[in-house]
Amino acid sequence: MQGVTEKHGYFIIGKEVQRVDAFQKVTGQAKFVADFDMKDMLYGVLVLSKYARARVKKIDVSKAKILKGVKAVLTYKDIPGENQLGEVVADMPCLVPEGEEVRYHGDVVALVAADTLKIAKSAAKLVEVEYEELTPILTIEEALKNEYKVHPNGNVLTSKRIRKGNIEAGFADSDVILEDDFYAHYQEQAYLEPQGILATFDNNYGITIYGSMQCPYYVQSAVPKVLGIPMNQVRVIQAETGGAFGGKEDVPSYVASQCALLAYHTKKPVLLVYSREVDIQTTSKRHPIKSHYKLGLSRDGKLKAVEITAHMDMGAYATLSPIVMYRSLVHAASAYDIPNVKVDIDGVYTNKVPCGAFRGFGSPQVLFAMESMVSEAAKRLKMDPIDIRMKNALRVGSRTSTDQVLTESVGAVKTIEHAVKISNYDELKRQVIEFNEKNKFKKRGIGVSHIIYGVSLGAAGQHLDAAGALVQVHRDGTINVHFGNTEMGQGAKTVISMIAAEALGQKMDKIRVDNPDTSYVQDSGPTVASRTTVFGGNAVKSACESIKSRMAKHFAKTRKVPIDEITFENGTVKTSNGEEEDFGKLAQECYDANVKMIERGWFVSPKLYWNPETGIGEAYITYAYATQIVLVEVDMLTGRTQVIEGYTSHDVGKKLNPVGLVGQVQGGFVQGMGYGLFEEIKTSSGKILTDNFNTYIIPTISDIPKKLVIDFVEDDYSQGPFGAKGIGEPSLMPTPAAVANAISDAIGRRIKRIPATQEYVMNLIEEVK
Amino acid sequence: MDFVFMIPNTEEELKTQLSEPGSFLMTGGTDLLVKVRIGKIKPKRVVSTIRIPTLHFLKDKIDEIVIGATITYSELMDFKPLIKNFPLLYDAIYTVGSPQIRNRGTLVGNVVNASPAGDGLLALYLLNAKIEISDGSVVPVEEFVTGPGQTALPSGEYVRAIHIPKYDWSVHYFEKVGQRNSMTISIASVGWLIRCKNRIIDEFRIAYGSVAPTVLRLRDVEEFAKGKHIDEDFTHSISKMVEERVHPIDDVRGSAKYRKILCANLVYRMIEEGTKC
Ligand SMILES: Cc1cc2nc3c(=O)[nH]c(=O)nc-3n(C[C@H](O)[C@H](O)[C@H](O)COP(=O)(O)OP(=O)(O)OC[C@H]3O[C@@H](n4cnc5c(N)ncnc54)[C@H](O)[C@@H]3O)c2cc1C
Repeated sequence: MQGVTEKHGYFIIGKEVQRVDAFQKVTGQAKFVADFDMKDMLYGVLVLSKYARARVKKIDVSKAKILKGVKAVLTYKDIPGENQLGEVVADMPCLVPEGEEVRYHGDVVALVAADTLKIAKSAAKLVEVEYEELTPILTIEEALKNEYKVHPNGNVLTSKRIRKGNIEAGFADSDVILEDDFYAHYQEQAYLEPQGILATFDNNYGITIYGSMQCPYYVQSAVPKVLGIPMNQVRVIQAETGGAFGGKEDVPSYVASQCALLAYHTKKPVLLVYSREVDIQTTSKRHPIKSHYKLGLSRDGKLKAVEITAHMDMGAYATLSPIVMYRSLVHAASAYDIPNVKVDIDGVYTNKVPCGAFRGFGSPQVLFAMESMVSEAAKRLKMDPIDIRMKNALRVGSRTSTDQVLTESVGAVKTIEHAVKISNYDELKRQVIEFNEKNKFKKRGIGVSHIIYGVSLGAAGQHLDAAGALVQVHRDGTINVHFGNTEMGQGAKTVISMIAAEALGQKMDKIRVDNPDTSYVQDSGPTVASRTTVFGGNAVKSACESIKSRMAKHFAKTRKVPIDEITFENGTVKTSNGEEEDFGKLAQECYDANVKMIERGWFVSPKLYWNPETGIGEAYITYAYATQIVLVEVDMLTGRTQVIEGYTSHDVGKKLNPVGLVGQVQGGFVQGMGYGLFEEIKTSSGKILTDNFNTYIIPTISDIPKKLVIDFVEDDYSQGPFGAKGIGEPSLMPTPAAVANAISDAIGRRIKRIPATQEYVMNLIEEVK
Repeated sequence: MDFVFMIPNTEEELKTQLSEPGSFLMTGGTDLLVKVRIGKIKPKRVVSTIRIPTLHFLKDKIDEIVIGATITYSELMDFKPLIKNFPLLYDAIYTVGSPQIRNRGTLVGNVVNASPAGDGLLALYLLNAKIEISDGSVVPVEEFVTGPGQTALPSGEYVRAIHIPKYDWSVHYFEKVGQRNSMTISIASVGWLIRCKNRIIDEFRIAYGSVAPTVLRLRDVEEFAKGKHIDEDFTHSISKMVEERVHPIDDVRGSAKYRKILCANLVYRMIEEGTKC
């Protein structure tokens, strides 16, 4: 920043502040899309496939159409634009045409809009669809045979690989070699608010879409294609979003396309809110991943080689699978300096629910496998699981599994040291031994995991990796911040307010961060990949700094003081000679002097080199690291696991909002624990049975550990706002692995599948008997 | 999902309103409304019991307690004679749902719902509770429940109260194995009551939930236990007997095989519990 003094201390960054949207959310004033009501509003309902795989022979909507109160019943014939959806590969029909196949139980065949939800539901039941049932592909193994094809080009959509060093030489050089198979199941995002969109038709704008979403710009590209209208006729405004976890990355594009079609044909506002059952049955989940791991180590525990093959169950459509796979690929060998790495991952189509984005994007599954292998190796070598990780941890100058040289902000070792310290590790181990000697039916175990997490979209997503902001300082000194990323419960608005406050020197309560509206700010990429604080934050910071420097210039000129002696802090502008002005008064003066008080910010990802053939290169702009130690108690009579203590240390670059950070880590821990223990999608013939929260089991407040100690390592990242990196996803990554390792330690058998449900654990215990 | 909702103020009104075909009784609604939402039942009218003063009572008599039909779990848990005389029932209902569910749900609803997974119901089986019906009859709970979701309640009648006879037990135990710590339906549950001295059993009752069409009392195991010394051998034999007698099924919460293992294993808790006498 030119002209104004750079301060070393911050007045708001790193301080404990109240969440900016807390009051509205706690008191129920915040409106979610299901709360919206408009004159003449219609209700939308979907007609879903009844089979995992079948040919649609005939769709008859005549009975549905004549029901009183029905305003539209639409099929593929009513799509004015392209009947094709898909953020990466356009392989998914918006509405399945006659003659074509439904590919999973959630495929949409028709849409209904009616005066009331009840009428819409009744009409949906009157839509008659004639199917010819076909043999579905329900497992990765069946898919790989390619006897039946989910899509014409075969069941393997894409494959990705890493070839680093010489794998044969690496194993030849190893003293110990271990091999094993792992399986990580689906996970449902389980956001509290189901998918929902309100589409309104109006003559000025064309279509305006309000909705629960992470990525308004995805919606703004998808809807015009389906409607066959130009992009400037579709405006997307994010409504309050009650949780997302990746489940509202690309899915709202499909929901919005369905809803917009109904609005387009009826010329009325249409509200389409999924029931929990429809939501779970149709929308994307975390990918099941089957993997085979082979690890080579020297006698003293140095990792020499790792060879991994993995298959991801993509379900019926690609959605975001190719980019999810990229992250699985890069994270498959976890956070270690390993000279020889070979990874092969295939994305496989099946006739089941499509899988896509979920906090961690394909990495918790492989981190679980790798971290299990590392702990098993430690056991084999009679080493402590901490020591083996310390020995192989990444440091400045180390090379990652894609051969990227790490140049700064590598807090990995510090997170290991902190985790050991906060858990009082040696004492913890002693207590576990003592407990296990005394108890026959209850056994305790300690699990360790150590992870890496690439921040933002990485080399494979560089074309999307930029973000914008529009900041306006009003004449009363209050500020509107528009940015292109979304608040979905994670606290984005709070941290962005803090960044704007710090960068402008204004008080936080004078700042309002508005929900994204595609007509204000250029496409800022998705709100995913733990990138919002870094990307949105940098864009907001640069816009604020431009305005501040103009205000400073005005202040210097009118007060006749040197510009480099002016400071802006907490609503007051000061010079070293005691000259002082209120931020708002100065804003008014600037307005009177015609100073430009609105500014755009634009942050672009540093460019990364990447070779997709070899999987070698700069995979991500920077990485977050974490180490976790958990203590579990397993009931040997029931197989049930209780996590009783958790200790977790995270390298975040710089703590901007310490309260928000703790919130993210608590939430990530609990969601990761749920994945590790009991969140299980069960299916029958491809249909999801666990389609509501009665049977899809997520943790409650009484399942979380009594003690969860959270620690942060600060190792500044030079490109991050004030040195920050992301935390949204790294918060979850270590937990499934740590929990699985702890159970393995407790029962003396290796957990090779997550969730490690009580039934699975009981079976392992019984095998020993 | 359209139905008429009625809130009678007296038992006479209740009886009249209930006589219409398609009428369903509702107390807390925590079972009924779930079934209405998923379309399992389609009521024409729903008649609520909650404003009828004569159904809202708790009585602590010398030889029994009597629980009125509209007493919620939360109210019951605050009722001191319950913890004192029936700690087993207290433990069982403490595991029902969440505080919100216990603020609405009732023991009577649990009985009439007649689920083999009913936690309150399992305790009532063990305590030999009796169900008082509006026609004046009083029926043992085991006869009242005739199958999953089925009862011997005559049409047009309703349950007025539950009677639980007092009896002194040395040991009581209840355990529900669910998929998480709260808000969970049992995969298998067990309860037992023991009267013993110096670890020699004088009287024994044991029941399992979620492993048969109804809650299951194992009378022959109860007989077998009489006079036995509580030790590893004893629990081992009981465990074997239990395994042969339960016939669980697979469902979305757990497999039949797992349920069987649970039933057999839970008995081993007795080794620790047995030391109490
Ligand atoms: C989230 C959730 C969690 C739950 N967790 C548990 C649990 O952990 N354990 C468990 O056992 N149950 C659980 N349940 C089920 C339910 O809460 C209990 O069975 C409860 O006891 C039902 O009581 P109620 O008063 O709400 O019954 P209602 O829903 O009002 O009625 C249940 C049935 O009884 C009939 N009925 C009601 N009153 C009378 C009467 N006076 N005479 C005759 N018939 C009558 C109704 O017509 C209906 O058929 C849970 C339910 C929910 C929604």
